[in-house]
Amino acid sequence: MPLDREKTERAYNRSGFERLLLLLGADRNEAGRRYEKLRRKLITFCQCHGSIHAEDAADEALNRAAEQIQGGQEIQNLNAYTLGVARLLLKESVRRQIREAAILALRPGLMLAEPAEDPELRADCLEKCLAMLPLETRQLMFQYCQGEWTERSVRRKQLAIELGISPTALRIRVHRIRAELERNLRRCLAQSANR
Amino acid sequence: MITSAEDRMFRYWLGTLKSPEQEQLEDGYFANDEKYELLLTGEDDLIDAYIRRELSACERQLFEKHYLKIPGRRWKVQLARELQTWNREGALHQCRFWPIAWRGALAAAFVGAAAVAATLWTQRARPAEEPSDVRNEAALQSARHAPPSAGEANELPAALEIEPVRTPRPETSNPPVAKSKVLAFVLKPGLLRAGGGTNRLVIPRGISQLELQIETERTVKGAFRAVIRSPDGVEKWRGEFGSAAVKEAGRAVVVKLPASSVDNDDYILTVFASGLRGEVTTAGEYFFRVVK
Repeated sequence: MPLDREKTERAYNRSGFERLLLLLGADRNEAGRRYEKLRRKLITFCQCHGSIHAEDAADEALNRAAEQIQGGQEIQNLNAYTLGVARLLLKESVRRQIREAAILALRPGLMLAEPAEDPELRADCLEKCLAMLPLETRQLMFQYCQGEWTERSVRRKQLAIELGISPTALRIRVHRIRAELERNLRRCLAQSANR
Repeated sequence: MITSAEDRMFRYWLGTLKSPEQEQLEDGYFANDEKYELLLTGEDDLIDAYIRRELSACERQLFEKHYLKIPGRRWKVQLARELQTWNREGALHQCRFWPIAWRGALAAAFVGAAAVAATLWTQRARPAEEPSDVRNEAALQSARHAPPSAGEANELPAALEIEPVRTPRPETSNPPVAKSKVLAFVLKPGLLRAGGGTNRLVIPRGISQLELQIETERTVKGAFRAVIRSPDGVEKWRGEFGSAAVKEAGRAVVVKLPASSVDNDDYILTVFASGLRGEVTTAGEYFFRVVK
């Protein structure tokens, strides 16, 4: 019976997923955060290898890991294991990617064109999202990006000294600000589009 | 100066990092969250270097062919461009973020000043049209970027031919606010790259919309499409226009696009229209260089 089979498969996957989460941490919330981070790493990995279906590939890697866990395989290091699965998946998809590349070559605008956003709406959202950031945070983000290449490097070192943190910590701090701004902007645009 | 770690990250994002360095980097960021965040900072830096024309020609090409082919990444590049514009416009000042409720009152106050500002705007002499801090061609080349070729020094006459026509806004408009500024250019068939010159569109800070008034090589009837590509064929922008944008009995068209669609770079704009039998034909092709 197809329905029974579907139910069994779903239960099987859910159970595998629960076990996978347990591998990431005993606390469910913390495990959820780690799961999301692992998924983002997998997406980055797949994108950097030219996959235009990176999210699907990342989910597939996690599903396969969950299946293996469900099947009784012991996984010591889930991050390394899913990376290995993702590498295998990339090899499997080479043929498909060649087909996709051929389609893209025939129709160069196909993948490159992204949904157009209303420039005014986007400008409004960006202004709102920038305004949501504390002044010091905004200042830091802009100061970090000012100037030409060499000037920027010097400025960043000075900024790090002024803040009493390492240049690496400064890089990460500014990246987090930009990432938060990006998330807020996407949210604002999505909300505006739904109105 | 670029460090070897930064260089490795750049090469990873550009798809040119080879084994075993590639595997080492991947193993590293899967095992360590901080390394992953550092990798993401490398992406931010790469995007910033791209929009500032700090990448070499080869890196730039890789960026467009490898990095930008992934859906969603153009969005990130556009955001970086917008942040750069905000940065240049002095967004550091807190007063830029007036509460929305105040804006009505402030707008009313601006209306009075707008007439004066608009007059000043249109009366500015041409040499003063370029903002004082707009980087010249030489300054656009960073420490990492090759110096301009000798031929580029001869491009100024062509740039003068492409007359930037400022479109004064109605009196109710507010020139100091970036979002309301439109800059119009005239592109003529005689300004094609084959003439040896490079057409420059100098876009001062604060311009949000471009209006390209294009004299077509073939008569355009009805709707048309304008596509802007980089010289190596990567599409940057496209727009569909109705017959209202066709002027002078089809011998000219008007193309409007957000200024953020183009950056300091070379571009080819192609106007596609319907031919006599409904087939798609090229009504004109124009090479131009943007200087922001």
